[in-house]
Amino acid sequence: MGRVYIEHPGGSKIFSCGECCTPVTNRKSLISTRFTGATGRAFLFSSVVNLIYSSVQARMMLTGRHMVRDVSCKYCSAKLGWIYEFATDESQRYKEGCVILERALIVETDGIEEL
Amino acid sequence: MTLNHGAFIDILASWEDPHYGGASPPPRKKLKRTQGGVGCDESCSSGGGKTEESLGGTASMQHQTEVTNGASVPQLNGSSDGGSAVTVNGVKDETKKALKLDPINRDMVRLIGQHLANLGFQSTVEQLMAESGCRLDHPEARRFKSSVVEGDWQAAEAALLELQSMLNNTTHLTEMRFLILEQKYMELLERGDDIGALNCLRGEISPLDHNISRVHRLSSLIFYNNPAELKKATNWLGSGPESHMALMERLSAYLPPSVMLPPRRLERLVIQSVQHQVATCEFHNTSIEPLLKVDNLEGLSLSDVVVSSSCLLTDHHCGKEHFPSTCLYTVTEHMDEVLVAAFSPNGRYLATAGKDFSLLIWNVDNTTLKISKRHCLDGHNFSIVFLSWSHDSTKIIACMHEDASELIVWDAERGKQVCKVSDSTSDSLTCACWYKDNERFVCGGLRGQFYLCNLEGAVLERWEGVRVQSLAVHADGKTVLASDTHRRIRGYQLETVQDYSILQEDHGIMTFSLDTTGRFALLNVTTQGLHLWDLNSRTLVRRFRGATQKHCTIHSCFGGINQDFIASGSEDHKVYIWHRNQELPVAVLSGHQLPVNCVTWNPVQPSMLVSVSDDRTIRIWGPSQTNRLNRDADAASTSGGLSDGDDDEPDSPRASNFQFPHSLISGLDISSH
Repeated sequence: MGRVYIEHPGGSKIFSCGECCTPVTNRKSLISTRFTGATGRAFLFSSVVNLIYSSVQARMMLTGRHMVRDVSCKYCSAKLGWIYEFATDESQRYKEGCVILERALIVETDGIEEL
Repeated sequence: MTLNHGAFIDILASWEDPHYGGASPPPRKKLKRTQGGVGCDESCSSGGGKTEESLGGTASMQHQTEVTNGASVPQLNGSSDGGSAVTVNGVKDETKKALKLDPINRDMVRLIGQHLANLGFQSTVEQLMAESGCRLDHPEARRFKSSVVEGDWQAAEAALLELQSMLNNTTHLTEMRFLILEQKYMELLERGDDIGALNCLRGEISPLDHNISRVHRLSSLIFYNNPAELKKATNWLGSGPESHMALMERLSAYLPPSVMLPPRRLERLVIQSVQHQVATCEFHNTSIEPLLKVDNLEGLSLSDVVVSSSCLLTDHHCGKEHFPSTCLYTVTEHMDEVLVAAFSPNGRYLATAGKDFSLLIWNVDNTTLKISKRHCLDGHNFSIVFLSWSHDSTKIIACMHEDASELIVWDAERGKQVCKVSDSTSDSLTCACWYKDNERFVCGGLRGQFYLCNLEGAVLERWEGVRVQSLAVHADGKTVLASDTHRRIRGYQLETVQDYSILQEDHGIMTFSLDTTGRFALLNVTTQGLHLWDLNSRTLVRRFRGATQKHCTIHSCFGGINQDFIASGSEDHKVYIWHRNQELPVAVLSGHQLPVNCVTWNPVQPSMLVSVSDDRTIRIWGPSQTNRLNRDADAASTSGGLSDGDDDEPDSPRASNFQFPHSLISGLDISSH
């Protein structure tokens, strides 16, 4: 596939893919930690990089019916979580456009001091 | 035939009468006669008896002279133009009226007249002006011009005052007078007439109250004793006709064109038109153009600037003889995906590298466009993702994958390792570029390393806080341009620890390269195509469409004569070539089976382009007829007037590699494909 182009979100604490350590997002984009995924705890982030999105599916969750896309690492294609595209409930609207990454599938590392 | 002299004289006398064209019998007779023409004699003899008709002989000759006047004859009868018939015996030209011309054509005739006058055809010009009823210049202007050329300053001033009413601007008048007086002053100085010069300065130049600093400078010139020094100090041509002509050209800039034509106007229009043709020529890739590249056309004539006269007769239009349009051959030497390729700055070597951990250096023959393997450099433990040649083409840096933590500098001629840079095992050095001194280089990576190193592999300077994705060195030799993960390109001076921002993009910058002037940067922006930025004004100049680049890192480059073209690889397996001034590609080259990662254009041989791809091949692209490679010899005969499309041989398998995206290009005049 040639040399896959990897972006870097920057920041002081970086979350990366558990399999290949490709940087995905950082602490600054973290919105909430009180989510649950298939493997347990999951975090909600506002902006992410280096991910590929699947086709949209309708899913029934604890909080209601949502349209979601599964999200995988661009480099190694490991599944990392999902993105909310549409929430049927008005109270769940805040999640739209944000990405859930399961805590067990990502690693947190320190970033560098950036200009 | 009897001739009655008395009646004959009467008839003649009445012809002199301006009111002749009345209802009296003779006009009708005349009509009969003119209609009869030569046969008049016969009617005279057969008619018989009438004295007027018997005027056969000489009278008919008179008529015949009238008849031969052609168009004016029918008008004679019944119209007051009888007067003009009388003057038939006088000057013929005055009956011919000046041709009526509309203003545009009048100006055209004036331009042509000016050009002919410059060439020396004085009598032709006079006749042209007489026939067309135009005049080249206003008579006052002509008088002014001749007095300036002769050096008669008094007459020049007088003529100038006459022209005053025609000038647009009163300051122009002062400036022109200043110029004339300046010349007069300089000539007086040259002759040694210091008193006269002083008088001129005090009495004529100073009262004008114009350009005081120049007046001071002029007054200082009085101290020069000898004319040669004077000329040298002021770059003045001396008081010859050359100097007067030059002065006249400067003065004519102030006169409106209706009064005096701008000098050599027709020639300038022709030069502009040829320049335009060259600029819009899509495949223009030759060094011998129809025009010599000159920045300032002042004082140059047509023959100085235009090299080949064929471009005057037909529009200049290059075919693809010098443009890489077909795949000449394919080299399959690499064992895995080839990620990068680069020509050395002297065009003699080509380096290719990729995932098979080896760096191949090839010798390039610039006349046959063949490459042959020179070195196979091993010693890398990871795939090579970036190459950078030193400016003297002796050394090359191979940067590896993120996890490699080191980079290797090779001597390209001998094939030996010069040094390795490995500061720490957690480093990532994925890009590099050389300083102009070829002794030091900068390298950096995504983990925040940004080092200045020397040829021993020692780190001289470090810059913290930037995740560098691509590097290039600025034309000034001291500043390094780096694109980083925040989608910016910034300039860094590592020795003086200074940095400044240059540009900001909205999407990730994958790679970028600079052209040889260092003024323009070509960026591969993910999902957005190629962006051309002007680094001096820090603005986006143009976006180039067509190539796909979302997933993989694709490299692009400038190329061609004067770096007029831009080439890039693409994820859709094709090589795209754009002309720098157009958004849509001028050529799309297909042949690779997998995404094309990198293209590089030979800096010395503008018809040669190399592309490398995931399909493990290196493809060399060149003009479709390789025997036309001698660009200097053939360009003179082939430039101008060739229709494109004639070059693609229909039977050769290579020809099918060339593809014109008709859907992308509209309005292109292609005869084949």
